[in-house]
Amino acid sequence: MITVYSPLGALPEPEALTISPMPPMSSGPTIAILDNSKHNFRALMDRVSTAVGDTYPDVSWHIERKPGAAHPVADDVRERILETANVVFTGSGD
Amino acid sequence: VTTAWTTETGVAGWIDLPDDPAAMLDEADRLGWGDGLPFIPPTRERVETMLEASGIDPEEELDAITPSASRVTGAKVAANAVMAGCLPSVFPVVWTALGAILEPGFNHEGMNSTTHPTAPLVVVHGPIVAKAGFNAGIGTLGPGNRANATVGRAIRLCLLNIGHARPGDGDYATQASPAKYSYCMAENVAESPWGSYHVDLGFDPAQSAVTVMGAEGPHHVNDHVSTDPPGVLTTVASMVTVLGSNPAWLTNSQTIVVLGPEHAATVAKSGFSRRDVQLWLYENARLPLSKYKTGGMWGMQIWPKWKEAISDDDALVCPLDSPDSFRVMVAGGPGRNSAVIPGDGMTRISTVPVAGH
Repeated sequence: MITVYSPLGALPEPEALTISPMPPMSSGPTIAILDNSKHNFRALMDRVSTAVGDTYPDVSWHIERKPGAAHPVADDVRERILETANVVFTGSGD
Repeated sequence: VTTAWTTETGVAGWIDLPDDPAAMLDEADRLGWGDGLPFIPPTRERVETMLEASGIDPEEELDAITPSASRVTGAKVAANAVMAGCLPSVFPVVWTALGAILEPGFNHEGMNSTTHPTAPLVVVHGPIVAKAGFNAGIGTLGPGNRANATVGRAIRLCLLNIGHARPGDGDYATQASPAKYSYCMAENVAESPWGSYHVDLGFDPAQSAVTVMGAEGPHHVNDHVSTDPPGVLTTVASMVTVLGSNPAWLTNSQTIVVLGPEHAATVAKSGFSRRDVQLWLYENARLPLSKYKTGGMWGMQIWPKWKEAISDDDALVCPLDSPDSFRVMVAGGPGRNSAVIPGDGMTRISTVPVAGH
């Protein structure tokens, strides 16, 4: 056997995270979709919103779109989502 | 987070491997080490020799690598450089290049995580090219030279091993690229009609430097017939104006044009400077707007306002935003071949000095 120094990086200890409590919803929730502009994201979310709407008809939707996937969300868009929605889908991979 | 490197234990510390090379590779594969190729075992003596030759402390740190967020220490980088087969003489290049890659402007996070086949290109400039035995001539981007091969491989091993950017688990390149094994070349100053790239940026000729860029693989430029600058550069431009390459779609993209010495001589003999090449390419490497609308990333492009405002389908539009977005260097050997190396569009080219060289 030969003793060597591992080339692997030591992974930091994972942080303990807690799930945020559900926001108060006096009536049907509003779900925001932040479209990241990748080609199939909107198509995917249209299908998701249809499926969710079939099960929860009192859900309403708020759609925003970023100019590109690499752009951070603009401040005014973030504010509109905060004012309007209880839940937001913020993005998707390819 | 960790103690001094000599006392680290566990999978990221000291570990015993079989002596037999084949069994060693089997065990490393099981542990999730490496790039799939055989390697030099990073013994303490070899790691220390690598560090001592450069005066780098084993606990000295660079910025963390995404996605692991692991500490990037001198000892870890040296261990990977040993594995890659680096001689101590090239370790300053590895350390400097990796440091530049981990700077925020380079965006290694995007490079590691994207589906695009981007890889970290390292270009070596200055006296260390000859001193450490880099190949700037025939085959500079290919195999057969230890310095070029091992520096590029060491960078990749750091991303794989320290950063845990492994295919399908931290690195999501759809098909990836051979450039992800090793991607290092050297500038052929002896045959450059314009001197060294890094000197044009303001470096002293006696100072060595490295340029890094998150890059697509080299796109070949074959022109065996042109005898003047417009001829050669028209062929170069044809490799810039492609819809399947990221710079067409992402603002602030940069591209390195690596002219072979013969093409460079043809261009320079008419008095073209490096700047003239940049200007010529920006003015002539263009596609009609209607062509952009046929595919690629049309509809999701990230263009500057002035480019988005172009509405005439016949307007000729350069994929890059300015002459400065073309970077021109000379490398390689005999033959009428060059290369266009597009950046990945989300990276900034950086040229930094190699300390002490």
